[in-house]
Amino acid sequence: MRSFSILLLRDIRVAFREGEAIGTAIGFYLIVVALVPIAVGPDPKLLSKIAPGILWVALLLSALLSLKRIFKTDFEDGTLEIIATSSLPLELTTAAKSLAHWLTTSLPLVLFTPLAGTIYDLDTITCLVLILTMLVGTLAISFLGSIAAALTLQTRQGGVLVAIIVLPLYLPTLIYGTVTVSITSMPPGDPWPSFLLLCSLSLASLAIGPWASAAALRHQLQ
Amino acid sequence: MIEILLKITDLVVKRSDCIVLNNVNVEITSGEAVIVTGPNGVGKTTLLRAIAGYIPIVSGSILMKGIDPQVEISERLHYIGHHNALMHALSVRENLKFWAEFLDEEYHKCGNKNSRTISTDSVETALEFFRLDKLAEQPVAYLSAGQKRRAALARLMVAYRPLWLLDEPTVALDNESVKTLTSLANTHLRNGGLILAATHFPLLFEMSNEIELLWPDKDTDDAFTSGEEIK
Repeated sequence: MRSFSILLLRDIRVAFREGEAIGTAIGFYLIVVALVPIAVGPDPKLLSKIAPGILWVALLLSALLSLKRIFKTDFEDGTLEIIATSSLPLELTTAAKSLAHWLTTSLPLVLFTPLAGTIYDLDTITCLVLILTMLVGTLAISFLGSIAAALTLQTRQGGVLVAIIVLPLYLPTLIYGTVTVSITSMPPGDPWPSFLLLCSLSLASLAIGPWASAAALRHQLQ
Repeated sequence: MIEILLKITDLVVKRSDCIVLNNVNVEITSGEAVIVTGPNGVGKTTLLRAIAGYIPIVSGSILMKGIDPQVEISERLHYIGHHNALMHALSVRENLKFWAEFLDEEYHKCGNKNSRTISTDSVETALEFFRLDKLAEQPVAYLSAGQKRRAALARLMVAYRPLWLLDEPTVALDNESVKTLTSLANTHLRNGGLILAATHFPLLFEMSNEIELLWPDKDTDDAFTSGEEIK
């Protein structure tokens, strides 16, 4: 487990040193979130109604932009093949890198959500629930995303391919994430079932993601 | 000193559908270096990558005697490939420190402050040995090709592993650095290490044998014949 934390800390350090992935993701997120009210018009009721959907979609797409970077730089400079000769199993390597992606990209995006929520006139409780669903749901985004990132490692223009592979996998998370928020903001209804399903999706991707991306990486390293 | 033996018997490796290595036999014992030569594309890198465990083998065996049988061969070797495995955003020292902590088994076993100072010491020794101490704080992105190669080779010093797989280790190195590498390799051999190097550059290792991989003989049915040992 020691090498797991060493790898995780190194990935976080590299991400902040480069700043590119975090900057692009947050910039894109805020741009989309700020543009929609301008296009839709200044109707507070309408805006607060569509806010969960818009914010969730913006979050998904921003996280998608940075997925390729999970393995790309390490693969290109040969670091990944040396990491593969360590005592750390490749499954834990991919888990560490997915977790690093969650910490350095998904988490900052979630933290910017309250700021975005003010544009949409979200009340405090809805905003808190939205953040909670995003905190849980983004785990699925990072861990399932690592599979697509590993599969498309050697493609030149893999951006679209990543989206095609990964977006269908994100749909359940998107659905249960937004449903939880809209039930809370518009009672009656019990938000718990959809929230628990969201949690189970994230737990499942925590379990599947590292194995699937390690299997893909083994092929890429040949 | 524990005697270690790397024994490769009748190794067959395919890449997509083409047989690249056909019945290659190599034996290396402690203190011995084997230089693999041969024309471009004959399978030198494939041989090294198969030993490192990146490429699955079709048949034959790669065995290492004298190490803990529970440990994979890939965890007992250093692989210096075409890429330098240096992260451009981090400084030379940060890169080596990461490899020292990540690759060194002793570091994980001790797991205390003591081992941390050992890894720091080995990083400083390696930096000095490869004349990188003045560049230690520079991000790797600013280094020249030869300096990057030296930083990559310094990885050999920061964590102990008995088998070194060196794929064209002298690329981009100046004469002085080649001498540095040779003396490092000879020290490793004297301490009971094993080296398998693929190179076109005549390296002066002590106790070295040469293996030449050959193109297929047109008269035989075999796609490729290789593994003729020249002593």
